Amino acid sequence: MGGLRKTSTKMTTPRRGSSSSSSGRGRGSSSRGGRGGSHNRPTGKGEFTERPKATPKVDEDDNSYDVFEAEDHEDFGKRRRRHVERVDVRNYELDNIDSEDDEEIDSDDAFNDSDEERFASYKRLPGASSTKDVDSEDSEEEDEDEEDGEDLVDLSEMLDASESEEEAEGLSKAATLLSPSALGFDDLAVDGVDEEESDDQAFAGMGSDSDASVASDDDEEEEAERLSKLDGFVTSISARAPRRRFVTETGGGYAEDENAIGSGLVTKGVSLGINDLLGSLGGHADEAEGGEHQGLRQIRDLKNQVTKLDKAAKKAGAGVVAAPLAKRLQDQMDRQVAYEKSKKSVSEWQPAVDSNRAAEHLSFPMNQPDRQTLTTASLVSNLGAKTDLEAQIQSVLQESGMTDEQQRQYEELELKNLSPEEVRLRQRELRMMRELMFRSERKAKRMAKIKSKAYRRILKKDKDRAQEKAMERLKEEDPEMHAMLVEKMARSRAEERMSLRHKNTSKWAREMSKRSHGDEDTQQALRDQLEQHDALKRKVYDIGSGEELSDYEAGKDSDGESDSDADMSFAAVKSRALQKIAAEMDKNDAADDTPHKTLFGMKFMQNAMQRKEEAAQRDAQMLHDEFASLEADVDEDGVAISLKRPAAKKAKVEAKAPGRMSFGAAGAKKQKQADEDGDEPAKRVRLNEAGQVGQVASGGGHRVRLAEPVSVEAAEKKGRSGKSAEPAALNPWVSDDVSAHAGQRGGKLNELSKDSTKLDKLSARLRSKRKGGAAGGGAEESVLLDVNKTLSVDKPAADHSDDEPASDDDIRLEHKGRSAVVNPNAFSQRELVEQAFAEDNIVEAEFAAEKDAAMDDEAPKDLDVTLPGWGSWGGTGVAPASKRIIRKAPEGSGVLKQNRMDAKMGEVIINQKQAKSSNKYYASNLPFPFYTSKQYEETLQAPLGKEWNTAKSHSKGIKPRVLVKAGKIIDPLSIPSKKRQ
Amino acid sequence: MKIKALSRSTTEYTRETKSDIQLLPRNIDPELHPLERAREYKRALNAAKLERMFAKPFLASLSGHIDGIYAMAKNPWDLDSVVTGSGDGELRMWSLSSQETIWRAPEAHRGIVKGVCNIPGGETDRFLSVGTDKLAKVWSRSESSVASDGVTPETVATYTGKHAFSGIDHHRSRPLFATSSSLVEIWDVDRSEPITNLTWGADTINTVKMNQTEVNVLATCGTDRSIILYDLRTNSPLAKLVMTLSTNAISWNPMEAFMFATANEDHNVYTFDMRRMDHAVNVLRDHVSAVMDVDYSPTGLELVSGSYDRSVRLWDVNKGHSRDIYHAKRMQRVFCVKYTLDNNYVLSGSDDSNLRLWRARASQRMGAKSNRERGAIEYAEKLKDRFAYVPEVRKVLQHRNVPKGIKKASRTKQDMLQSRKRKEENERKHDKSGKARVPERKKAILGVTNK
Repeated sequence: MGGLRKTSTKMTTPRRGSSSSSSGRGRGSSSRGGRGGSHNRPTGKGEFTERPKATPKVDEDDNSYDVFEAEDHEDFGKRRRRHVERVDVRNYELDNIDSEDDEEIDSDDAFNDSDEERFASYKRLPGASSTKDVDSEDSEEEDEDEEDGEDLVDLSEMLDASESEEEAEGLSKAATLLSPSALGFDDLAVDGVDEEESDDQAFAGMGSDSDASVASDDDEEEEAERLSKLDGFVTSISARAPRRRFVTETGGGYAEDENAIGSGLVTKGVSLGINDLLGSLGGHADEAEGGEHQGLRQIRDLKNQVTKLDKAAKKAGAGVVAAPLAKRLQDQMDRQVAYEKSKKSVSEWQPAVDSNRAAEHLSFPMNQPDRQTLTTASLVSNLGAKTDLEAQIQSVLQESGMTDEQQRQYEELELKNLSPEEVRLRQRELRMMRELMFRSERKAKRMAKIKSKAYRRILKKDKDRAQEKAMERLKEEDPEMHAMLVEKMARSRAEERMSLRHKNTSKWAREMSKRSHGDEDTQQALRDQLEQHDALKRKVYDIGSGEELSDYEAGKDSDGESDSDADMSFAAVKSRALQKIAAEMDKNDAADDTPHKTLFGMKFMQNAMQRKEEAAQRDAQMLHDEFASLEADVDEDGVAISLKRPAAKKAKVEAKAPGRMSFGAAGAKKQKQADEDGDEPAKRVRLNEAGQVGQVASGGGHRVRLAEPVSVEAAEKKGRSGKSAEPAALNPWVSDDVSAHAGQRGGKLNELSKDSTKLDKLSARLRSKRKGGAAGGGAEESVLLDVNKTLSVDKPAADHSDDEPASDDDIRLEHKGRSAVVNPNAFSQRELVEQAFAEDNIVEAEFAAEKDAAMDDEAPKDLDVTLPGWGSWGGTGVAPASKRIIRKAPEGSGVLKQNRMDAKMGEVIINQKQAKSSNKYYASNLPFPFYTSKQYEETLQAPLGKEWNTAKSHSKGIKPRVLVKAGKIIDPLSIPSKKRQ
Repeated sequence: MKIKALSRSTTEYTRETKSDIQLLPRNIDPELHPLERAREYKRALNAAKLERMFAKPFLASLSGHIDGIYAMAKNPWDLDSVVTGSGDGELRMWSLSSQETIWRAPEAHRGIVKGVCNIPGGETDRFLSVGTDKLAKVWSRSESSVASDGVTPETVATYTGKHAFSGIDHHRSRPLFATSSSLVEIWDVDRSEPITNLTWGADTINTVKMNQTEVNVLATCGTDRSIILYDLRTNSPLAKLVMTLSTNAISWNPMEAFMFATANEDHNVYTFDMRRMDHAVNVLRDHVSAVMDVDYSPTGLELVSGSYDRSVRLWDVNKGHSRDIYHAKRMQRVFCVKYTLDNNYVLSGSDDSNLRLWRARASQRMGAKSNRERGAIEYAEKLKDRFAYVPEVRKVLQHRNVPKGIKKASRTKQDMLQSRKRKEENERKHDKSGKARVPERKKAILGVTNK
């Protein structure tokens, strides 16, 4: 069987070695190819190659051989076994065979009875064979046989030792032998009963020949050596012949017994190439000294022919086929090999499959050819008649010589008829024409494009003028009509202004603008509407009558005057304001005299009107007085810098609530009133920057609300500073506050000046702001600003331009006299402190109780489920059952006190209650691909929605892994290496 | 002075169509969009509910056959046509778009039609059918003209086999086809005799399937509980996988050449790597009766299986349980299922002589969608995936109305399996020899052999 076959190759080598140089034992590892070459070449390695090719003397040889044998025989035997074992191991590595497979073919199968019969004679101890080997040189036949036998003994030993391993080896060996290419022609394995006949035929002839040659060259030692191999073979054949016959007689032939797996064993040991046979003959012939005769020549010819055939066969890749195995086994091996090959082949898909599996996105169908993009070049190259009609036209053009190409040719021909001058002239003419055309075109384009402002203005003026003229004509011709038109215009304007219908936001306009796309009429309507809007928005004097115009112009003039007269003196302004007020008062008086008839003539109405008038008069008088008393710091040009009001007018501010500081309520009211009352004068009087002062006073600009009308002074009064009169008995809780330390603060603020650092200024601003906030928000303070004291806001004259925050820098808050007065109703400091720290020890106890309660609450609770009267006898004289039924708290419910996280923490309660409502947001157990909950949590971390991502990252985040093109067939995967299967 | 003007590209604020709403610039300041997790969770839950609301997988029932449908073939070059063969030997070709029979051969075979398959190349519409009458016939809608309705059209060619055929499949590229009976025969379309016989053992083979990627490999499953692989290049079987119960159908993965799925009598679908068959790659278990047919989706990522329990199930190849179950009141034992080649539909042929057309994703709707709609759907899908493990969402997503019989059977089966498992565990626990647990993927596999 296979396993044996493998070892049999091992066996042949030593034998060959001994035949080639009658003294050596080649190592089984010598290559097969090496053996195929000329016979003389040493084929082994190691000690074998070092030996001379042909030793001259048999004796020496014998000696050396004997010595080698004596020394090395045992070693060799071991070595060989080692070698075989090693080979076994290697084979195992090559093909793993299941233990089941091994079990199937047991040693009995492999080495069956018939084999045992055959090898009965070989079953000798190695020791015995070695003793024979020592003197085996004399009888070649025996020697060969014995050697063979020895090897086989080894083999059987080996079989006995490790049957299963050999089986495996055999299988694998057979598997490798399956392919014809594995078998060299020169190997010519003569190792099967299967080949019995052919072998017999071949070697019978050979044997006779070689016998002859052996007889003729008996004296020549070398030749004897060379021939020994052949002789050995022949004798071995003859020695085996009876056995073989016996086998055939018993009908143990291959064909009959499919399972006769051992049948191939008999001649396994003989693996002899035909070259080996012929080579020895040829070599002999070459070296024969002058003894060339007919037979040898024939042999040489034969050898040549055989080598030729050999080469040809090698080239063709054909070889002698090994003996077929039992079909079952053969199939098995076939499958094994085929499966390996298929696996290998199918594994070529692995990279593609892996990349698909790992791909972040897959798009099906895969392997789609790129869509061809159309380029002009490709279009042009493919340009031609496609439809029948086009082809027809093309042919007609062709026939009539109207194609572009033909035209060009024609023109060229025509040009050839003309003289050069004429051609040049014509060309110039053409160029001229083209140039002119180009210019006019460009000009037209430009003209069409011009739409400058001036152009528009002129256009508009023209239009206006035309309209004006038309109106004038109308006025002359048909005044009624004109009046009607004017009235209509005025009315529509008024309506428009009231309703704001001209805006583009009306429903109609929106509707129209939606519909306007591509619709000329709608667009026109919209344009009209816009124009109307513009027209109506135009100031009234644009369309009004001449009277109105004059009125307006007068006003404008006066306005312009006042505007232009920027440096009108304060006195003038004042006098004018007074005048106006006086006029108003007069008017009121005059109005009294008008007689009333209807409703207004009735008594109660008149009384009411009287009252009203009186109030108005009073107000006017007040305003008048105020204005009259108004003084101003006037600069050299007579322009007011700041207004000053006499301090006499002071409002009382009542303390509304204890613990509160109130600012500015009355002042603001007053101011407001003043604003309302003196609306006209306040507006009319424009005192340059003086207006800013008013703003300051009304509290808008600097967020300082004052509890009284303030005197606003010019910046010269720097030196004034209010001294804080009450440093003692300060409330430590309000010590930060502005008002308490207003004096100090004032002092500090006083230190601010032009040359104070920016930081100081900033901090001052911050403080003032905070103060403003506190004052406005009404902080809890028991301190009130003295109503009698004034807080003056000073500004340097140079910094009056407007209310930008920078001007805050130079605000100076001053308290005049005492800054604060303790309200009798306000809390005292002591009280406050007492209140603040009252019952501190009680709190601790309360907390401990609370914590205990929380612990109890969260602790596992046993449940008393006793039902009175149940499970016990009732009736008179029966004591009620004292047994109570307690249901234990379920395991894992609640937290034991000692296990609490806050058990050892004094001042903390950690709530260990599970919020059941949030359970639904958590996965109950860790999903499959994740190893830790952290990993899983990470996948939920970043939101995907549009609200939390940019459009790009959103669309990237939601892209599905598998994209399938709709309605397309998805073909199976294909890879380049598998395109042609 | 260089003036840096603000510029906006018109694409940012112009609409694609008039009907589209105006684009609004969004402020993604997180302060303005608090509680993102809770909001997305809610969205996911809503999406899951909507998915179940819109889950209407059944599309059509194509009737016409008189006997049950036992063979079906989809045309690899045409999305529209499907051929079915029934128990009374009738062949029908259906148009899926118009949902009607477009061609039929009433007496195509005597006895059951056991297999149909299309002949490659988009040029012809030829297809093959085999029956228990030992005949393999080539048909063509265009070539074999119909004399009158109800009369079987002429065949294009007929091959005569030695045994009753049980399955057929065509080579992907070469003019070869394989039939299965008690042996696998490889036929050349131009020859009347099979060019190769592939045998291994003497048992009957249930079906044969050729690999569509590694085109020379084919697989059969037999009554001897075996799955056998063959290779046409070496003309030899490769390996035999023996399982505890027999396999009814095989499908090769079109995207992964070495993977195949098998429909087993033990109610499970197994996927295998043909190179390492000592264990299944995945075991898909949900059916409560023998799985009769299995088919890969053309993307190779999903599976559809039809079972004797009168249900069709859809699977993710990497997951152990089905992602959906399709059933119909009148649907009987399902004998053949197919996933259409555009990955959108599923076909099932059953004992009740109807061919049913289902959506592959029950709540998906076909048709063109605006970008916004598509975006919304994709977003919803992602959210569902993301929150699929959260109890409430999972509950909604997994809930299916299952016929009573299946529900009951699955409960019983679960009990059985659990008790079996418990017993195994107990045995293992009290066994001193320290028996190792057998993984589920190996339990049903007796072995792989080349003998």
